Amino acid sequence: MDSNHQSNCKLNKTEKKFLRKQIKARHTLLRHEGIETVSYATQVLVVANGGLGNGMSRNQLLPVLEKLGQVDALLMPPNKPYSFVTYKTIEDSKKAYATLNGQKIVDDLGQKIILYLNFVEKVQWKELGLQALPPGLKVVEEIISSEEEKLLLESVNWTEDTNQENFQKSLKHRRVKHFGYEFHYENNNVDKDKPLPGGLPEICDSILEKWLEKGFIRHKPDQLTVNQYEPGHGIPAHIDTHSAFEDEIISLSLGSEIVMDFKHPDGVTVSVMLLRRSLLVMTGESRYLWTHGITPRKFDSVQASKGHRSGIITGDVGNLTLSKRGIRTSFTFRKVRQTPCNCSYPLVCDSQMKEPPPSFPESNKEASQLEQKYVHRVYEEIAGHFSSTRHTPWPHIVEFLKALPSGSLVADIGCGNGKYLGINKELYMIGCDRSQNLVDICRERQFQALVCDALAVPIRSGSCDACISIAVVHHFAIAERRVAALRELVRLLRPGGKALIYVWAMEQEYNNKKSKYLRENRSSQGKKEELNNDLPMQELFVEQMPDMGIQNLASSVSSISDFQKGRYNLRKVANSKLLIHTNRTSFHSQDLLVPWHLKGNPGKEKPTEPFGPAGTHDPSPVFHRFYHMFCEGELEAACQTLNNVSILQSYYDQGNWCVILQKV
Amino acid sequence: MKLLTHNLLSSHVRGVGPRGFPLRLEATEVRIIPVEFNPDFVARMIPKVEWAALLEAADNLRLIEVPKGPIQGYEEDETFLRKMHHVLLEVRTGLALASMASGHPGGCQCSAVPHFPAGGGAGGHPAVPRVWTCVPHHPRDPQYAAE
Repeated sequence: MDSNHQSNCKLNKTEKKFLRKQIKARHTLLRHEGIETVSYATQVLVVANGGLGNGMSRNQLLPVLEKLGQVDALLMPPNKPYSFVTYKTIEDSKKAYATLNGQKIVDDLGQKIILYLNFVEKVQWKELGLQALPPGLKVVEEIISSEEEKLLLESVNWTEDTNQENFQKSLKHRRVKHFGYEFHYENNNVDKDKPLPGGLPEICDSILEKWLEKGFIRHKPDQLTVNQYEPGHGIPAHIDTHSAFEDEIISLSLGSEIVMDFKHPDGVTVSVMLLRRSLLVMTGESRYLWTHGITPRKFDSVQASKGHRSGIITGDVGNLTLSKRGIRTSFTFRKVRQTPCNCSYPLVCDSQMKEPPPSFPESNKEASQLEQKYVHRVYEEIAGHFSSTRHTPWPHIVEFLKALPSGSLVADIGCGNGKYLGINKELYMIGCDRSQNLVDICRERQFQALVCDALAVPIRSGSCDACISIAVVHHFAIAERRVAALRELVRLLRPGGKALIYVWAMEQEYNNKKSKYLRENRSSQGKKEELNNDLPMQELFVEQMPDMGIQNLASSVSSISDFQKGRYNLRKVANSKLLIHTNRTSFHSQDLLVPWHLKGNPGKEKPTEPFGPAGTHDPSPVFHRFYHMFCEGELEAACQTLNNVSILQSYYDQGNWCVILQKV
Repeated sequence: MKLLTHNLLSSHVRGVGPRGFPLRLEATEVRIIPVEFNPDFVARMIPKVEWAALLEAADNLRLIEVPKGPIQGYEEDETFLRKMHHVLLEVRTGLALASMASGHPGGCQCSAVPHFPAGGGAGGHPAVPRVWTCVPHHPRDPQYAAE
């Protein structure tokens, strides 16, 4: 009896684990893909973890499935961590369910993967429909011979010393080398007055002449960037800066094939196979409007049937498998533009932007004006959308609020949509925000909230037992104002009262761990898939811009004056214009503008029209918010300038620097 | 706005009262929104109250039966606590700040005017000066949920 009981327990434990995973997989599918699993047996099973997106190939999965019964179809959607198998009979599918669920199989990387199966009513996969190459894009295959390929590859000496001639850099996700002009990743532009000595490699010259002659290209380029991608490398989706280069941008693929993703601002994604020795030519819309990028991964989803390898990777889920990436070297030729861009895509054109990005503020007045325009106004505009994305309270903040004694008076300065105002019902909380629209949202939720500026909070001095300031202080444009905001926060506290402060961290990778902000970046595969799968077993890829500078940060930090002197102002651009940050990448400057892509009101969405050159379509507007990213130690140093506080605790939490201080 | 919140506010605009406190209430709208009574919670709020401000506010709103100050042993005095519960947490009012309306220097420090209409109930009751209306208990009211 006893032993029986024990074995039951064991079984239950394992069973429970599987059940949990299964339920989780089920929920994830449900949530992100609209796939509904059923509790009764059907012919169709969804195989979580058995997808191209997590390194499982058709060649591996199919035999395993076929062992258990007659497979009618195996559908493997591109880049998804699951697939659908349809068996001839329910008996077979039941057998597969019983046998395979929770079983380990080895994937293409040699890693063991546990499969989780669930019955579904039917295969739910919407074909993306027939796709065409982005307008203005062409791929010319076998444009060079194997011999030329070999010569070109040999012409790039990756091992040579950086003698400053060709400006070689090892970036986080690839190696690059520049010829003709150096490409600056700080501003994604070239210094037009400083051509590099030596020009383009000689070998390129004859090849380019030939292409010109044959009409593959129209202009002779004068700038070359050589990129080398090892398996797992990639390049973030980007549009080459309009003002930097002429219309035509060409890229020669050498050594190995790769899949490049093109994305239209409307969300349409087209994946294009770039075979080795092929030339990609981007002109017009494909050059000016579509982004292109390579997802960092070790396998690409490609057409399974031979003879259909090139061109677009379609969503034909019955005909996809994995292709292991090799080392690809690309020669990207561009012609440096000498005049401002006058393309027909003003919304994405830096030459035609209505106004240039603001300069770094030099005075309190300038800082205040910058904040009004790039913080206050923006939150007012984006309030509704912003609020809809702010629903999950951060655990450590909840912990802080829950630990406060019952009956504490707490002010949340910069309360946003009030997501912390109702966390602990034993507190009396008042929220403040600079945005009327966000305060309105708080009030609809029956919270006590008011509009005010964090530098002038209309709450009695010394009245609060605790205050929180979550993601607020980093919106002040100069150090003096950031300290003033902290001083105002402390003013509200009674002696002994505590404040919790969160600011965004410059370091988005800490202790070798990427912050959630970086991790949440993933390759989007069109609008429908924007909410990409995040089954726990799937790796999330990070698209990163060249990661320079961050490792130079001093980690031991002493006084605020260091920060004020700008010791940590990495790479201030010459004209001291604020940089515009690329979302979900590491920060390249402490002071920058972070874009907010406003999504329209659901239900009010217009049918998607082609985003034509005439500019008829209204794309989702982008707003820029000013941020000062705090370096390690900077928040503590700022707090220490106040003479009436002691820092109880400081820590790093998901890409934020945090301090708990106490008024003395 | 609850009167407890009002009691904690002060004006950040210079020149409003000696300490920018209390803010003068102009009751354009007064509502009573029942909140479940939690004697311990109310008792803990009592020491934080600025009585002069509370009494002035109550007077402006013509509230009756407002205790004049903390009484001995109030923690155990349910009658007292119930009255305080009512005045601090159940009375809701809009807040109009005369001094604010008169305008103040521009610039970021002063651009934010505390704006605080009477909360509670999404059902558009028209603003009726000094008429007490009773709106249905809102289940999402944080104080209600507290109990």
